[in-house]
Amino acid sequence: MKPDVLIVEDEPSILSSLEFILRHAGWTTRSVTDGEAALRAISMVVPRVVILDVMLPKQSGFDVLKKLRLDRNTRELPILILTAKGQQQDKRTAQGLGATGFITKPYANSEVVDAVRRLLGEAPVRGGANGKSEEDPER
Amino acid sequence: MRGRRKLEFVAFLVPVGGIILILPPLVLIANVSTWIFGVPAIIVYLFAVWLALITVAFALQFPLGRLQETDMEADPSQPETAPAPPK
Amino acid sequence: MISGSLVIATSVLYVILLFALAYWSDLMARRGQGNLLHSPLVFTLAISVYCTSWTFYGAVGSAARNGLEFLAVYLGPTLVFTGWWFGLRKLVRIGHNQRITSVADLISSRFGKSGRLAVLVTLMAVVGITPYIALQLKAIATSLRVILSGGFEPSSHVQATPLPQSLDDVGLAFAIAAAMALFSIMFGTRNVNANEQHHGVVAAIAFEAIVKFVALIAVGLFVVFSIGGGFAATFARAEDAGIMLNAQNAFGPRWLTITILSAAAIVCLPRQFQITVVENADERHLRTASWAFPLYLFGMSVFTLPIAIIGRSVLPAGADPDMFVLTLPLAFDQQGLALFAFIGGFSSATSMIIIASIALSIMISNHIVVPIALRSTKVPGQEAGSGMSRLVLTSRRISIAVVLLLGFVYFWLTAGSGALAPIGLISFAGVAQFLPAIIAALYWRDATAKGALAGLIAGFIIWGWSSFLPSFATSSEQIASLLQTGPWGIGILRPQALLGLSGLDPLVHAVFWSLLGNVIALIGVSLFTENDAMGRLQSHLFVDVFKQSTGGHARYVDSSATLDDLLYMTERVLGAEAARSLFAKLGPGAKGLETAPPTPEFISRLEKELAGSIGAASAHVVLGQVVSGESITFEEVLQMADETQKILEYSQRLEHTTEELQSTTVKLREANQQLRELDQQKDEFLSQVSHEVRTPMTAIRSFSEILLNHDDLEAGQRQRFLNTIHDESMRLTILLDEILDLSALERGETLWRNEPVEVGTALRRAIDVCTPLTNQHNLEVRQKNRAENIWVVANGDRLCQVFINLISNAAKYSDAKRPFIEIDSRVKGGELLVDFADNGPGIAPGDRDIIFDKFSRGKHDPESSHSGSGLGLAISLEILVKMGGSLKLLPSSGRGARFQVRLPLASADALPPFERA
Repeated sequence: MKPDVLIVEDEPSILSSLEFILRHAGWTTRSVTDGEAALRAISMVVPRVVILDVMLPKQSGFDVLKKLRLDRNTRELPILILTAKGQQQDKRTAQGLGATGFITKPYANSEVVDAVRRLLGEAPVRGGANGKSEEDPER
Repeated sequence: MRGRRKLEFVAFLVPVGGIILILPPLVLIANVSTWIFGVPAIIVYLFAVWLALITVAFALQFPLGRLQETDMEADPSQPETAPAPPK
Repeated sequence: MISGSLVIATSVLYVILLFALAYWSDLMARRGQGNLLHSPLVFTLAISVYCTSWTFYGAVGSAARNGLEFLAVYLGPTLVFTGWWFGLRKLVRIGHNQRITSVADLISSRFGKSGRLAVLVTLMAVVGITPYIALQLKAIATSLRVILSGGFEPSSHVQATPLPQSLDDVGLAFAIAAAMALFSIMFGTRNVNANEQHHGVVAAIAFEAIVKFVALIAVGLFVVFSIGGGFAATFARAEDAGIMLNAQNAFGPRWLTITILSAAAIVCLPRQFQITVVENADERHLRTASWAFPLYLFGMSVFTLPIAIIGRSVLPAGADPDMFVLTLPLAFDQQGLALFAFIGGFSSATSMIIIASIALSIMISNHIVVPIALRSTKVPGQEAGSGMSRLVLTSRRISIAVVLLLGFVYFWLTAGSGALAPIGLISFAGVAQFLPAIIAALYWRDATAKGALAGLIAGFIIWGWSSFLPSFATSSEQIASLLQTGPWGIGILRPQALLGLSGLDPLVHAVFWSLLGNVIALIGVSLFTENDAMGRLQSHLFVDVFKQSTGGHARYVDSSATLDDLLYMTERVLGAEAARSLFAKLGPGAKGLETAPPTPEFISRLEKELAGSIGAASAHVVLGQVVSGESITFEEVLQMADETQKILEYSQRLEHTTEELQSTTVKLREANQQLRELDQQKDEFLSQVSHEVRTPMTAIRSFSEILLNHDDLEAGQRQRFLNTIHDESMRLTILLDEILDLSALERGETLWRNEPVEVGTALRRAIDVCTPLTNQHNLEVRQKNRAENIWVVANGDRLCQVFINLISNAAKYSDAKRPFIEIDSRVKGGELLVDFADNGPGIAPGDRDIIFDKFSRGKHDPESSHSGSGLGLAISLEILVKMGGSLKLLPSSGRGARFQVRLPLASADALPPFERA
């Protein structure tokens, strides 16, 4: 089954929080904890969106991004870069490499949900950028 | 090089040996009134030493000459076998 | 009875023959056809100029009086020539290299081209040779008188007469001296040669050597076989003749002395030096001469004793033994042989006189006349044409005349003083005074000009006093009484018994004292004086002649003199033609006579060539004058070299400074680079810190938002999220603590105390603290060796911190089914070793190098720590270094990591009082 979001994140606590909020937003997710595993997973099933941490074991997020952009199948794949460094340099690098979105840790949960939604081409639920309303679609 | 030193040592021994032979005390051994073929022993002795020196010098001129040639080849200031005649 | 006119005519014819031979030889040499003239045979025969009328006549006389003593005169030269490889070869090589013109030139040149030495040696040579020339005059005069009177006139020389001979005798001697002077002048001074070689003269001398040899052998054969009846019969008469062959004292001090003197003479006599060194065309000729010359001497001596024996036994008692060679044939009416013998004696005398006077005249003109002329006139040879050349020739001609005149005067003053040989020995003793200086010149580097001067003067004075002066005793009452009582009655100054040393043979006495004084003065003064710059250079060139490849040294560094100037000057010295040919020979640059300045090498070579003509010292002065204006003395060159050296040193210093500057720049650049790196490190550190802080912050923020926004969470989930928030904030706290901790450690904590710590206690405490963690991870803590009661100097809490860090790392990273950590503490080599080995994932090879860096959690490890800050090992290492220890990651043999803590043990007096003993 094709997941909506592939989460690539090595910090377990962040990974579990991301899984929680994205599933809660109604998407299916899949998680890997390093760059190689990410590439492997994508080569098998291309997700609709990738959330990619930069500081990863084995292959950094940038390396993964670069490779995905070289591959015809994933050239247009929406990729959201997560970084804990938060420097302008990283943002430029990400854009240069063809990242679709860029979010700095620590982030508000709504930032991630909004970004994913935008990348999936879905309209904001109930309008407005309110995190509460976004993250509570079933209410 | 070792051959050279040996040869030079032999060449050195010639005059030194001569000195030892013609000076006392060795020369006194022959200074006795003995006659050899009618000639006094001392005369025979001195002339024999003399002739021996000449003979050794004659024999040594060849190896020493070769040594000298190599030396002079090494010395560029020595080629004047026959000086240019002045005009 | 031989008629006087026949004798005179024969003599004149003989001289004309000689002259023709010399002229023809010169011609051949000039045409380049004189190969025979340059043969070693001619060279050897020319050396035989050693055998003068002293040998021809005097040896027989000596044998008749003193038995075998005459042999020593020929054994000495034999030793020198058979040992040619060591002495003569060096002398000849130096002679060629330095263009030596005479023995005076040799000594002067070696000792810094000293003009004073040259003058002294020249004067000594003139005085020393005067008796020798007188001897030749005496021999010719006597032999002439003998052959004219038919040989039976008893010699009047046997008895000492205080007054001069009859006017006839003196007049005869004067006529002979005048004729010889003319002869020598015609032979020796026809031109000034560029290298002072006289091919014609040498050829004539070689011819004379043959004449005298054949004549003596002829007489000898006649005497021994015709009169004596063979050698045996002849020697049988020896006792009857009163010739003591086995005298007990025959080989005493006199034998040794004469051997030494003759060995010295073959080198020091100006005429021998002239032939052996100056006239030598090729060093190789020495090889042949080394045996051929002794052989010649051998032949000249074979018949000496037999002639003396027969003469003694056959001729009347009053017959002069010096004339036996002549009187024996006359007595047996062999007039042809007698005439031949006379010519033989005549030739031996003339050859000596010619060469000796030429040699002396060269010395006089080169070392006395030319220097004076150079001093008195500013530019050499002001008159047009061959000014200097004419001056040199004129002075040589006059010198020859003067030398012969002196010989005549000596002959006149000492007339009747006796036999020929003693006169010759006086000369030998005189020139032997050169020997110490020559030996020092060739072999003793530290011999100085002052030393040589002192030695020569001392030897000369003693010789003059003890040998030369006494030879006048027969003709001077005062000198005779001086010998008896000493000057002013001072006994110890008696010439033949100096310091009361009496009982010695006068010759031995004179030679002993003069050479002793000579050598002592030479050595003594040399030891206390220094060679000047030129002297040092020359001493090197002489002593090390076989070690250098070229003798050329540029002494004139820069000159404004043009080739034209130099040619002009050279023409003054050598004459126009010789100068041009010399310039042509000296090589390129001379052809067009450009006005360009000549090279220093050219001037040096020119000086050497000129030195061959007018002596080293004079050539130096001459060239110095021409090149003057910029004339550069050797000292100036040295000074310049010194300045150059200084400039060199300065530039080296500059270079050094530059280098220092460069190295400073490099250091600065390095420091800069370091700073930049540090700055970068700081940035990286901050970036790392930021990252490390942001990660737990992200989790905390994210989970708190979830908790805030989702009221409907299950209690378990809520609880889990809260726990995560708590853990992450704890992680954040620890991280901040550790950053501060590390920063404090790196900055240098002010309150850091090392004190004796018991390792076992610290380790137990650490294990205790870690127990909850190890239990959580199921980590089994094993202890292999336990270091008990081992004290190290450390900060107890910090050491504990290190242990905790290592144990908790093992716990946190443990992934084995049955994880364990093995702690092995022991003492080895005065150190405490504590190993922490686990069976966890170990350290990836790529991380081994960076494991102690900050924030360097094994990034390459997929199972990397989630709770560590990456600062633990960096802090542990920092702590251990502060305690004088170290922390290492040991190469692991199998699975897991193995860390080793090393700490120095506490010394006994550092322990708490109760722990000692």
